[in-house]
Amino acid sequence: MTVGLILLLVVSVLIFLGLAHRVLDRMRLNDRQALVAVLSILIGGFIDIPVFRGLWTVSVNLGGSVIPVIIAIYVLSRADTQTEARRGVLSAVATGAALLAISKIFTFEEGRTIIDPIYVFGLVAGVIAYLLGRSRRAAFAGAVLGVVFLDIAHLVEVIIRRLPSTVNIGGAGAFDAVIIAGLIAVGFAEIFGETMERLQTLPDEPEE
Amino acid sequence: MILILSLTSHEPAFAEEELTDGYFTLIDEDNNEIFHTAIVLHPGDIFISEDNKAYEVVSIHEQTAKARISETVTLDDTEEGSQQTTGSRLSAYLQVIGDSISRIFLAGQQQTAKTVVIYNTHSDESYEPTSGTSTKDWGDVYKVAAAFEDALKKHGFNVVRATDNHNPHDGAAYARSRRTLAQLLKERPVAAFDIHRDAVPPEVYRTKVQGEDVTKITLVIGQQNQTRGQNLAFAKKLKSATDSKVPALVKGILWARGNYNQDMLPRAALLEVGAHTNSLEEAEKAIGLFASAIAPAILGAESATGFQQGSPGRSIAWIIAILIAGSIGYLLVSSRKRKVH
Repeated sequence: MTVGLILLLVVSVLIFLGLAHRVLDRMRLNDRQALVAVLSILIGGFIDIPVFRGLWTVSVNLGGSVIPVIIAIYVLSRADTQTEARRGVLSAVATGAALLAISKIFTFEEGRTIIDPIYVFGLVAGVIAYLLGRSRRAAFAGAVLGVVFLDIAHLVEVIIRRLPSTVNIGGAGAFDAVIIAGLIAVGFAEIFGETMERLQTLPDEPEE
Repeated sequence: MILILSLTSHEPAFAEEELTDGYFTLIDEDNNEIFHTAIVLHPGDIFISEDNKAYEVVSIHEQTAKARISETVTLDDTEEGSQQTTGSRLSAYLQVIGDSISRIFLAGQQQTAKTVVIYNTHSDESYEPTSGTSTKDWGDVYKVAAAFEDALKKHGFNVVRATDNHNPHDGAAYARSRRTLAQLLKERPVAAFDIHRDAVPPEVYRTKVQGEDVTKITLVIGQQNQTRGQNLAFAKKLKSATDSKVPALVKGILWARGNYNQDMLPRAALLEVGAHTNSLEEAEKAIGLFASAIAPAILGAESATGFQQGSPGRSIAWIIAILIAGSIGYLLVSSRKRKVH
């Protein structure tokens, strides 16, 4: 969880310095809520909740899935319009499907890997979620939920195929992917979305 | 999306291309066959052979990889710490951060013996002569891992072996086994081993030790992680230790593309113990011999995730502690402000 951890630390520093204020504001979060979120993800990353033991060993990681999902749902529930919320859900489904396709099409076998799947999943999820979600809220929710969907899809697959497997939803790896994806989605919305908006705005129109 | 995928893979490796029927042959400039493996080779991969010659793959034609000798490797001159790059140093710091936090959860646990952790990313890999199939739900590689565990325990190690199953054998298997390794790292191991088997004809890996058939072992180290220098040094150390006790047991070291979760600690190795065409018994004997040979080399190692007094790790741990304390302070102050308003 090294990459995810360091990104969380960077985010908390940004919040401290007040640099994330505007982004958080658009996501309907204040600095305080954001810090609580970062701290609970950080600590929750070490907590696995066992769900089932048998042919499949299923557990849920608090910081890698439960808390990010709660935040994503909260952020979506505060969306400006129903369309935006719908777009967030759509972006989550599309992101999950894309990640699943990548995990099936690309093999990360010995000698085949160019970049670790953790980064691939995080990067792809972040970009797709931004493209479909557009707003910071929908992009963030899409990215986070999309990564968690991949783990759920794995659980469904091993149940259908009756394959013995250990399923840790949101565990190490997914933890990093969730954080990378969420930050990229919001970052893209902030950088590209804002730039496009500025470019499209006529000079005499008042800015948002 | 396409852009990202093209960035992440020069040659997209599709699942259906998996080399179950064929394998790569590494040849030198004079067309001598050096190595066979089902691991897909790429230009830039380096294979350190049994006689410690480093072959760098320069071109690939179908399933033949042409290589040139880049150097003769001296195994013993590599101090694990001397190969540190900025990346590996950063990674070591990150390791310490994770370790410091995990210590909070492991407070009071004292360790006496050196801990080694073992797991299997490709849960289905099996040995056909023994099982009648090369893949099954709980592959024979678990039995090889168990034999490795038993042998290391006889040498005084505390061994923690995960029996988590990472099926199916797809692109996300390493992402899943990463979680298993993350759990295992809480044991503060000196080393971690991921046990696999290759997929080539039996003679490629078969050898005789004291009159008995055993398989050879290839060590696979990923080039794409920040701790690659340390991991390669570790693999060289393992090969050197094995060469001096059981010559030719280690087939070589493949320094290949990939990560294999080896970014998570500086002493991680992926072992290909024989191929699917060898028997489980041959593989079990090989891993037993390997354990005896490497035991002294690992016994001298410090906890892979630990850090010493006065090391930069301590400062990092302090920074984290201050950051957490600062966050809590910030929250208290900001909530007080609200009340005043």
